[in-house]
Amino acid sequence: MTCTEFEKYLPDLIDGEARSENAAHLGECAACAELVSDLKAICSEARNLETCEPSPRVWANIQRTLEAEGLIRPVLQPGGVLAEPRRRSFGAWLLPLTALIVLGVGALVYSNRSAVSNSTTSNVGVLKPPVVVPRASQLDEFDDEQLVSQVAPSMRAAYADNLRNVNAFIQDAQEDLKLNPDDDDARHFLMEAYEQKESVYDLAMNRSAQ
Amino acid sequence: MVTRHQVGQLAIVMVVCAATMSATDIRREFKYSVGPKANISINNEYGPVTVKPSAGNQVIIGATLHSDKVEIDNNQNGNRIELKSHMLTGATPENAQVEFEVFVPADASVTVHSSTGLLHAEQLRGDLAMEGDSAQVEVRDISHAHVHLKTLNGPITLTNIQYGHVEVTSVGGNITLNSVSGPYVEVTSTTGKIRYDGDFGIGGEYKMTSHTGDIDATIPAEASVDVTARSVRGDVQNDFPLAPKSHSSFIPVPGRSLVGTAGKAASSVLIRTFSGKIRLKKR
Repeated sequence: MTCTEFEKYLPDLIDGEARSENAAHLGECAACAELVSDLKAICSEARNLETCEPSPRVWANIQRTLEAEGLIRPVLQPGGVLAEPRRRSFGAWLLPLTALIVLGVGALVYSNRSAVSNSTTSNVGVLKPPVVVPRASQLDEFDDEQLVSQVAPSMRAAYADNLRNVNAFIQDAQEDLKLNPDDDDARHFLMEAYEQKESVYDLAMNRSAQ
Repeated sequence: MVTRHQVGQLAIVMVVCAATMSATDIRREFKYSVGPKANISINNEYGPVTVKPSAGNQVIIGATLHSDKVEIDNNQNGNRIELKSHMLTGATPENAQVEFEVFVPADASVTVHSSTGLLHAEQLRGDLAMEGDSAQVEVRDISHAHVHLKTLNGPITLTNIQYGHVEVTSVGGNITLNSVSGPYVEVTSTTGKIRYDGDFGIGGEYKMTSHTGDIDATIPAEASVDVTARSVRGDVQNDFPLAPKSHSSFIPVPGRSLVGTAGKAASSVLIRTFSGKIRLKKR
């Protein structure tokens, strides 16, 4: 008997039903003997574990997810209220949880592939979106310095000067908006100032991306 | 005293130098066949790019490389063509210059990027996007197209743009618009000056915004406009006859803002600067 053939009888061995040829293989093969010993130890320990029931909320979430995916149908009690899920033993609720994990991983892989294909197709066309630019309102002096250091040396002075001018624009616009919070023009100026800053970052990052 | 012999020797040296310089230039040509509404992208790190219409459905691109420290990567995927200058070891902004002359079908969409060098496009009907750091940008004779131009401090000039959707941004470069009409024209600058000379078309929307750059608009008497002009801290001067509006979203402050109409007020013109000067002049 080979080890592959022996493995078919493992469940019986664990349950204590041994055949003569299985026993003979165990005597000859140290690897299979060790495997059987380990499995028996695990089963023995598992019987001694306290049953740990998950909270009803866990069950409800799993049920809702599986129903949403169409894997199970809602079970209605008389009166139209959904039945409580059956309580299961510790090991038996592993299957729906595994299904949930598999669905989640599958959704994640699908969404990543969609993001990659979207970024690829968005490169086609005149108005392709530039490199992702951080929100101008959250950029600070450190970000500006980092940006300037990334551009070509011949352009650093120009970028530094224009960033200073744009920051002055933002500051003026912010002060004006504080004084005139209901003024649409004040809001407009602040938005334009941030967009100017984003333009600077856009230009610099497009250059450094080449 | 310089002798005739010395002048002759100097002339010979100059001719030899010129010949030597041009001998390092490398000329390459690319030809592609495309269908309608092709998509052409030129990414030139340093150097000018000129785009003009071609005859038929051919894209013809001539590139003059100033040294062997730069090469051209080119790629065609169906109707999409992409050329990019690629700097090699030892390249500098001077020896990595490439001059592109691009001929495309008039309905093609064109995207051009360059740090320096003149970016020029004319007589096209497809969408146009040009972007440069200090590059001077010139666009003329474009109609029924989206035009997007952006520079850091390079000056931008648009001439005779009709029925366009135009968006122009320069942080520090001056922006000049001659005979540019919508339906939509938006111009934004931080410190650069904005100059508009035209009639604002019929029924378009025009917005000009700056932080400290002055904004001048020269308008013919027959223009049909609804004008709102405002400077937060600068002056507004008006030499163009405007009729007062019966309803306005704000109360104009003389010398700081104005609101008025001319003709049938077909086009909306919104001019705003934070601390620059606004001048409306009659042509």
